[in-house]
Amino acid sequence: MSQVNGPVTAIVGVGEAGIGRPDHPATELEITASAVISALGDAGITLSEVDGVFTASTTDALSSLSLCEYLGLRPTYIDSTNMGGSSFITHLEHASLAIQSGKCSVAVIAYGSVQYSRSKQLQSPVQPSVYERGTAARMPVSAYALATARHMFEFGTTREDLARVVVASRAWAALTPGATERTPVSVAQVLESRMVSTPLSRMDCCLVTDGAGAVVLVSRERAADGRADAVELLGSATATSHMAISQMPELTSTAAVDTGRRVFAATGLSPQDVDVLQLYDAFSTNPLLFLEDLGFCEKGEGGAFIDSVGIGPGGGLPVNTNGGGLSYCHPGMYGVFMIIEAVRQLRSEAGARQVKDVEIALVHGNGGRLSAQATALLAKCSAR
Amino acid sequence: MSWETSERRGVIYSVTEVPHRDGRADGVALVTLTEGFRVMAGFPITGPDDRLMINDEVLITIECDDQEPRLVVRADV
Repeated sequence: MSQVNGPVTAIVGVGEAGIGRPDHPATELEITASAVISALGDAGITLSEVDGVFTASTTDALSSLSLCEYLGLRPTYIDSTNMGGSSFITHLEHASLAIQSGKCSVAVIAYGSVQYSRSKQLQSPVQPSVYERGTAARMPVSAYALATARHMFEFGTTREDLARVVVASRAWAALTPGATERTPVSVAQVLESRMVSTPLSRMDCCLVTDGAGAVVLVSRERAADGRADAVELLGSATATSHMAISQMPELTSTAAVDTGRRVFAATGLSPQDVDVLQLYDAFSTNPLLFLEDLGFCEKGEGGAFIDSVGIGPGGGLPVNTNGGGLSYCHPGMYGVFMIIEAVRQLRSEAGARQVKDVEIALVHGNGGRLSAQATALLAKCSAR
Repeated sequence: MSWETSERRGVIYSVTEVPHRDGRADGVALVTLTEGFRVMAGFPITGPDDRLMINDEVLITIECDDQEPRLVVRADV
């Protein structure tokens, strides 16, 4: 599948709106548009300059058209690629390719959902596989539970290993204004949480919230004329291995093996060069799997690696520094918020949770049932 | 492309249990069939003896007691 070997583009603006569990909800379009306006304001770019729109939705198959209509845009390039939560990292890649080829010059990547206000439940447009119908599986939780159970069987991973991911997530969220769940938790509290689909408990699962986010991407040359702290897209890659969990070749290994290998090879970087990671944590298993698959530790050693290195505040490898999907927000698809947090860390705008001397950030998105994987490396423009 | 009828025997590749608020639980298993294809199948859990584990040899039956056929997995003894 596709990839970007940069740097040719840079992120010059980010914005969010409507995050959390509001008492007086807005519509998806209202909060998505607010996030776009916020990101453009951050970039110092006017709405009329936007000529590339990249979006996806869990509820609106024609979301790009709806957003263009709402904002009064007539873009020359439109992309509604939907691969679940990883879509927005892939949009970063597609937008960069579109800018590079002259199809557009100011690309906006946006997403919003009011799934909490609408239903208090995860909303998913995914159709069940014909090979998975007629069981009591609670999707998507059971799909990830099956992958987790296999990882435990093959490598001896424990529920305590997973709980440490949740504990780190809450510790970061406690430092993040606006995070939905900011109360610290212990390993014991995660283990005692209500079981949803063994071995995953409620606290092992991402939040159900509202929220919208947007990112503005331009050419590196244009970025040089704007704000001094633009963030370069060094490289990105997308891959898929299956859709239904029953058709995943090996439950313990994702297509992140492919995206990680390609993005590091294209940029000449290695995991040792990365200062901060945003790994899509729809479930506590995910960061553990992705640390292994992206090459930060050996296959099967994710649990021990997290325990020894530390991924929370003060740890050796900061992961999901706003609290991630487990604690910050998760409005159905989370990918755009990982890009935003990586940008804030690279700009040194993260306040109490700011990681020291961040020059390279890795963003890794996951979609479907561990089905789609997308990896991007971002850097301060002055870092290379 | 060719079609092949499965013997419906296989080995459990992974398994999860879904508890219900009334205390019942249902099992959900991924079964690697002898023919190499993998499917999802369910099984009721009324007691510890009903539990299935990874690597258990199993047999899948098709039950049609409601509108949609269901794949049900049992230990192949």
